[in-house]
Formats: sequence, structure tokens, C-alpha cells
Amino acid sequence: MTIPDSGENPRMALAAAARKGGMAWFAGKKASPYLFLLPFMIIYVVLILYPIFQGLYVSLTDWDMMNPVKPFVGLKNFEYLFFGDPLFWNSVKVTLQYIFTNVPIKVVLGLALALIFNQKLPGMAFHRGALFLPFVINIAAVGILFQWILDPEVGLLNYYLSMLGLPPQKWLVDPTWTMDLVVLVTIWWSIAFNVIVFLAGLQDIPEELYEAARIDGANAWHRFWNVTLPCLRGSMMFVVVMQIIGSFQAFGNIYMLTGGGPNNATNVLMVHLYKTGFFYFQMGPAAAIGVIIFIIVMALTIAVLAMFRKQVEY
Amino acid sequence: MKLNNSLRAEMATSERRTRSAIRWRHIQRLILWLVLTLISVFFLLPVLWMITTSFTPNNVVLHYPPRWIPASPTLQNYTEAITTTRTAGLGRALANSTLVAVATVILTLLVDSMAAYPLARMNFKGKKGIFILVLVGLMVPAEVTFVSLFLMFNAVGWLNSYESLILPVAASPFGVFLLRQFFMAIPRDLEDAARIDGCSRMRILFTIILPLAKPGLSALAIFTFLLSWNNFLWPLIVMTDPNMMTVPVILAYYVASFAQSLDWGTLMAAAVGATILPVIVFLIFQKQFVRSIATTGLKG
Repeated sequence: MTIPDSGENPRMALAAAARKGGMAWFAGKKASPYLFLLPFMIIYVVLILYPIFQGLYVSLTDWDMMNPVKPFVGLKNFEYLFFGDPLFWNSVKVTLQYIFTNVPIKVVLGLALALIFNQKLPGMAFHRGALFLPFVINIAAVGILFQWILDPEVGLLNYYLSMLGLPPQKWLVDPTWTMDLVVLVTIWWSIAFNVIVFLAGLQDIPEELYEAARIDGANAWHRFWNVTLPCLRGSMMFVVVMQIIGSFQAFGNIYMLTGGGPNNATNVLMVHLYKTGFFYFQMGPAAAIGVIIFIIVMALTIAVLAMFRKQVEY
Repeated sequence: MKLNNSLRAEMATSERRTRSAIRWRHIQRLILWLVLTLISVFFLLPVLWMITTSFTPNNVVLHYPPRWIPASPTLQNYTEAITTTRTAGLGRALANSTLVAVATVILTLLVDSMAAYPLARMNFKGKKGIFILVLVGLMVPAEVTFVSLFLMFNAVGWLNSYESLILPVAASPFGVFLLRQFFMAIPRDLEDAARIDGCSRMRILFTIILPLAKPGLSALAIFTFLLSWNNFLWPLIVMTDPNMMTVPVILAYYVASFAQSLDWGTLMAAAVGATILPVIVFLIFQKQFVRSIATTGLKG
């Protein structure tokens, strides 16, 4: 049942009559939804949407912090990144390397952990707490902690490796290992997010589906492929999209562990943007990197969404 | 007699079968339990090592072999981390972070619930368009706006201000999306009754909808608090005055100043100090926090 906003009710009519004055406006039918949305929209438009377009504009100018005149230079900044900047293509390569290790591992591992944590076992609350704990530690503290553990001279990891008779490694100093270590620490820090989403998805699968499969003689492996996975499609899509967006945004984990080094082996696009913009104050090229990240993330997100939609259609 | 015997034999084999099935289940559960314990150890050991080191005096912190229980535990690392003059102290940063996080939570709840209400409950022109605009915001990586946000705040003199950290995250598409889910689940009858009594929409939101959506509000509150407290890149860009720095930013400066002198005890004390409040908040509100992620994850 819905009730008209004005009319029969005398107090409604009164409110409608007083619509022109002050707070009574909120009682009005036409204006109020927009008034409710107003505070959000002001902040959203000014501090989120406008900066995206402003960033696009800055990327097309020669933006000198000291110079009040910001001459329009067209695609010069992009030209500089593509052909003049010695580090840009390295950053693209490193970012892709990071994404192609980080995303698949975290999706598969997140699902595997969710399957284990979905079992009813004694002490499960404790184990879940242990898994979620690193997720609430801020990345600066995580970075310091792992610099200490991975320290080549005095770190815990090398000590235990030598106990096992393995040669100590120059962790975080030797470029061969740094990217893998960054991914490993990132898993430790943030896998909980994926596990939580998958757990929620698992708990939504009706038990009857599993019973039906069991009656049809499906073993655990078949039940996973034919019941669990298809039912998790929504969660899977969400996790993959969030993971891709998150990986392009990755900054703190890398900045705190390696600072983009050694030898730029972990200098992902966000770190490159930070150094270009806020260390060398080259705002034009920095904004251009932002635009490039924005376009790639949007394209990938839409592609992933389209891919999942196609799967729904069969 | 013959029949009886064969029946008994059959019963015996079936009993043996169930028994071996039960034993197999026990073994399976044992293996699972072992795997689970290993996983927990992997996630907990680094945290334990952080705590241990924070109580170890700096002059023995580098001793081999590493000691999991310090021989002469000390609180000196903590006093050093809080009162140091090498960088700004941790105390001021803790106050900054708390203030920013609390203000962000209050503003976010207010702004986002006001925006979520019409999107969940009213029909108006442009509703679909606005909702899509909000969804687009979910996909935009905030980091790509940082260059222009920095230039904007620089132009109005808002660098090194609390507003610069609070305002950009207050209009959270995630929050609107989450609260909308909770508002839509509230039965309409209550609201209709209130409207017959002539309640304004604003009063309905604050006296009927919000109290009923408490689980959603607390979930968003916890999520926003932790996000604000742990926010790293944007505060690192905006806060250059040591007195305005939040905890993660101060930690980044600590590394530069203490790691070179190998004062790992002090660094770990600072890291523990930076972690205590979020962990307490998380332990108390674990359910709400998990729900905030689960709800959007499911329906996203």
C-alpha cells in the first residue's frame, strides 16, 4: 500500500502549504529526494567526479607549480611518457607482472581458504580471527614488520633458512625475489577480503543442491565443479573485479617494502605516479599516468563484467 | 537358520563398512585440522614476532639466535617511539588518526544514509541515472584523482588540514550501496503508518529507518573507521607537517630514521602502537566488519 504525499491528510496539506518556507520543504514530494541526495552529490561531484576530468585536463598542460600560467600542450605529456621517460615502460611491465601473479593467486587461494574455513571444526573462531588479523594492520606497520623479518643480515627468515641448511638470500635487495616477496606479503596482509566474500557466497548455497548431487552419485570433486563453482559466480566476479582494480591501485605494500626498488624491479605505475608527481612535482606527466591507469582499469572492469555476463547466458 | 546366518554376515560387513567410513572421516578431519593450524601459524607468527621484538632492548635485538621470549623485556622501546624527537612522536599521530577516523565515520554515515534513503525508497526522475553514477564510483580507483585533488586543495590552502583527509572519503559509493541494501530490506508498513501520521521524510529516516538499519550502519561505521585509520597514500601526499601526520605516515618516516640505526625494537614498538586500536575495534566488531564486506560482495 502506498499513500499519496499530499491531499486527504490535513497535516500533509499543511506541510504542502508551508512548502515554500524553510524545513517544511522536506515534506514536499518533488523536492525531497533531491534534497536527501544533495550533500552526497556535492561531495561526490566536487571531490571524485570533477577531479577525474580535472586530471584529464592537467595531463594536457605543462603544469608548473611555480608558474601561474599553465599552457595547453596537447598530448606532449603522453609523448614524454611513451618516448622520453626512461622508467614508464618498465613500470607498465612491472605492473602487469604484479597483476598477473597477484590476482590469480589471491583468487584461487582465497577460494581454497574459504572452502577450508567453511567446515565445522573445533576452534574455527580462533582460526578465522588469525586469518583476519593481518587485514586490519595498516600497511606501513606491515611493511616495517616484513623489512625486519626479511632483513638479509639479521632477519628471522634467513636465520631459519640457515637452520634448514639452505643458503641465506638477499631478500628485497636481489631483484629476482622482490616481486614474489611483495606478492607473498600482500597475500598475508589482504587475503582475508577474498575469503570473507567467498565464505558469504558459500553460505548462501542451498544445502539441497548438495544433497541432490549426492543422490545422483556425485563425489566431492564433482560437487565442487558442478554445484559450488557455478553458485559462486557472483562472488567470483566481484572478487576478480575488485582484485584487478586493487592491484592497479597497489602502492603502500610496495612503497613500504621496496620503495619501488631494487633497480626499479617493483616500480609499479602507482609508485611511478607518486614519485613523478609528489617527489619531482611533474604534475603533467603524473596526471597523464593517472589517466592511463584510469582507462586501463575501466576497460578491464568492463571486459571482466562482460565476460561473466556471457557465462550467465549459456 | 541359513537365512539368519547370511543376514548376520551382511550386517557385519555393513557395520565394518560404516566403521571404516567413520574412521576415514576422522582422518580427513584430522588432516583438515592440521592444515588449518598451519594456516593460522602462518598468519600469526609475524604478528607475534612484532610483539616480541617491541619488548626486546635495542642493544640485544640483533643477537643470534633470535629469542621468541626476550631475556630482559623492556618498555623502553615504547617510550622512545612516543617521545622521540628524531621525527614527530607517535602520540600526536595517534590523536590525529583517531580524530580523522571518528569524524570521517560520523560524516560518512550521515551523508551516505541520506543519499541511500531516496535510492531505496522513493520514486523520482533520474533515480536510475544517479544510481548508475554511484555504481561507476565503485569502479573508479580513487588514486587517479590524487594529482588533481592535491592541486585543488593546494589552491584553497587545505594541505595539512583534517578536512583534506575527511571530505574526499565521506561520499562513499560503497556506503550508499551497502545502506541501500539494508534500507530495502525494512518492511514498508512502518513507514506508511508514520506517513499517515504526517511524519516528514526526514523524520521517518531518522526515527524509523536508521534505528532499524543499525546492523548496516554499524557495519559501515567499522569499515569506514578501519579504512580511514589505515589510509596511506593520500595522507602521505597531503600531510607534510609532522604535527598533522597520521599514524601510517609517521611510520613511513620512522623507517627512514630508525632502520638505519637498526633500532628494530623501537620500530616494532611503533608498529604495535599503530596496530592496537584497529585490532581492538576489529575484535569487538568482527561480525559487523565481516558483514560489511560480505553484503556488498554478494550482491555486487
